[in-house]
Amino acid sequence: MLDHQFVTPALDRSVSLRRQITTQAMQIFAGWGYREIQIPLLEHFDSLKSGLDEDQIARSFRFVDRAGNLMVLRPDVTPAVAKTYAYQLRSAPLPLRVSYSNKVVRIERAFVGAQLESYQVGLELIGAEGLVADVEVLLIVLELLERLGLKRFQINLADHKAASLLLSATGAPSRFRDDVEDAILARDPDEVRSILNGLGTRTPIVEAIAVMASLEGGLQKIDLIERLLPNEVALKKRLDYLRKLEQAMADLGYGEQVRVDLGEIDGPGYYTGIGFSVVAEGAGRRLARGGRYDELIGLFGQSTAAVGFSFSLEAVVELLHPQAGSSASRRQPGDAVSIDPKDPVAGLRIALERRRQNLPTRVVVQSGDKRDKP
Amino acid sequence: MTSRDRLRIALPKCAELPAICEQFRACGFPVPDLSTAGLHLIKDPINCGFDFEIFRLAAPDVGTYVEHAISHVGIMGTDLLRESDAEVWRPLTFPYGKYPLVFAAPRGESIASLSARPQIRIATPYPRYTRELFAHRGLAAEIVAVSDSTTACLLGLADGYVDRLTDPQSLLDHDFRVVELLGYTRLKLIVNRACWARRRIAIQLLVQRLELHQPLPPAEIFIPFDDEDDLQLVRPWEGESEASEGSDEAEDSVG
Repeated sequence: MLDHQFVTPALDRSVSLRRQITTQAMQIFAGWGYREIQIPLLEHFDSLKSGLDEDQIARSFRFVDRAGNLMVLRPDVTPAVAKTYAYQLRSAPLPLRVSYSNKVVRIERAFVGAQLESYQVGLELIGAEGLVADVEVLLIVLELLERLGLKRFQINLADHKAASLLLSATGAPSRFRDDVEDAILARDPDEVRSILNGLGTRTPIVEAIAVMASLEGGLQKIDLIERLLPNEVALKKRLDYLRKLEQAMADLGYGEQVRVDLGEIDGPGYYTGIGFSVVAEGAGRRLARGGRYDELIGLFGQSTAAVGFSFSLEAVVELLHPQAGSSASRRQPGDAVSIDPKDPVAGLRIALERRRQNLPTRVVVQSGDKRDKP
Repeated sequence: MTSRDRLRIALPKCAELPAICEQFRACGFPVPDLSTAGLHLIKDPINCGFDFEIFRLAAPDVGTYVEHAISHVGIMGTDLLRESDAEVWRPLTFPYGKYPLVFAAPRGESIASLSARPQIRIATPYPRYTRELFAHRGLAAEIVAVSDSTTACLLGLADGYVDRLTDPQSLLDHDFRVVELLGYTRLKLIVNRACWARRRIAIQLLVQRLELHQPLPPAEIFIPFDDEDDLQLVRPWEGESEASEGSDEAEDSVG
């Protein structure tokens, strides 16, 4: 649980809460052997752009510096970490575990213009592939969620590769493929059928994608897709992997919290394997998002597998703020130290002594004005 | 912040509201008179573990309320949804509330005649969609955002309009014709995308129940294209449902 004893009664309590969550997250990441990395906020656009998708570029802030270079304020941490690894850390022994607490600058689509800067805390596991690496990352997410004191949360697990195999199988031109992907993200099976039937896609593929777009998740959806497309070997391999991953999480005691949800394939375009998002009761938006990106680092240098996630601190703070607020706004009984302005040192000495014992302390200067009295 | 064990449903103030209420009633929801403001509590009629709070909202606002999870579920047309750009799930399509989205202009005009002008002005209640549409086609058009696009054209504010076609008769009465069918708007059940497991199961049950009680779709709306031969004499929407030109186009939801 978050330690609320010393939540600073700041004008904006979310600041102190954000700091606390960051500290807690970084402690957990360090506990799993992740070392903190600092990434510059300002990057040369040309050096970063190969790692950004069209949407990220559209939402980024770019400008020309005094030397005429096109610069960008980092819109996402993961491509910047991938670039740093490829250029500066490639001699480091693998797997490399890095964590970060950084600011990103971008126009958040959902809150157009309202939110430009946001804070992310997350990690990247570079040079590790397979089930163990994916489970490790999911376990860290779960530990952080538990330590934040959340009870009703869930990780939705999908596979970007499976989705892209299915979308390729439609034979649809890329413009229509984007529309189908949007329909999957919107959990709109009617729209999926409407687009693909119009293009003459084979019925089993249309139905498999409609299953992917359905509101219901769970392993039975994997079974259904396999029954519809029994001869798609590559797809079956990916679905088997998801099944194994879900089983591994269930064996570790997280069967309730981790759930396959094949339609959860949004996020940046660099994800190539599993993808996941974290939702919690009471939060209006996702708390975290992550996934495997085995091809991103290869865009900057030598191809290296990697998986990672990031928490949106704004979303977490928004969720925890009411709980923390009620606790923080309560004044601790007996925390006031009354100081006589005629002899301040005596009072301040008491305050100092209380702080040395780590007791909550609030300095109150005595005056004729009632408002200043404790 | 919403209550834990309640599921909020935002219903839009629109022409389809009576049909929506009727379908919910068929599903076992004792939907009260929604003309009174506020949240109407309905004790779990579908045995999903949640009570429901139903309330009425201005139709364009429903997406925003659902995206921010103030309401967990809502009902909204794909035209307004596209315009608001709200990121929500749309797991169910209602059979009613389907309207052709058309580009209409005074009779005799065509895309060629309009695009030959140095500048055309298009009135629409969907400025975002229309701007994208014309930009995509490389047509220089000034988009005028108005709620009543027919009046805008009649009074000379615009050369044509992009809007839902709800009443073909009114279009003909004003001597307008459909230049192009752009797609269809549909009415969708929309859901917040960050649903936690138990709430999502309840919403799935609601979707299933609504699917079970889908009414029959109403007759297709006749689309009066600029075809001089039949329009002055035949009004097929009044008699037999003769397929009109362009009505065999693939259904393309605007959302």
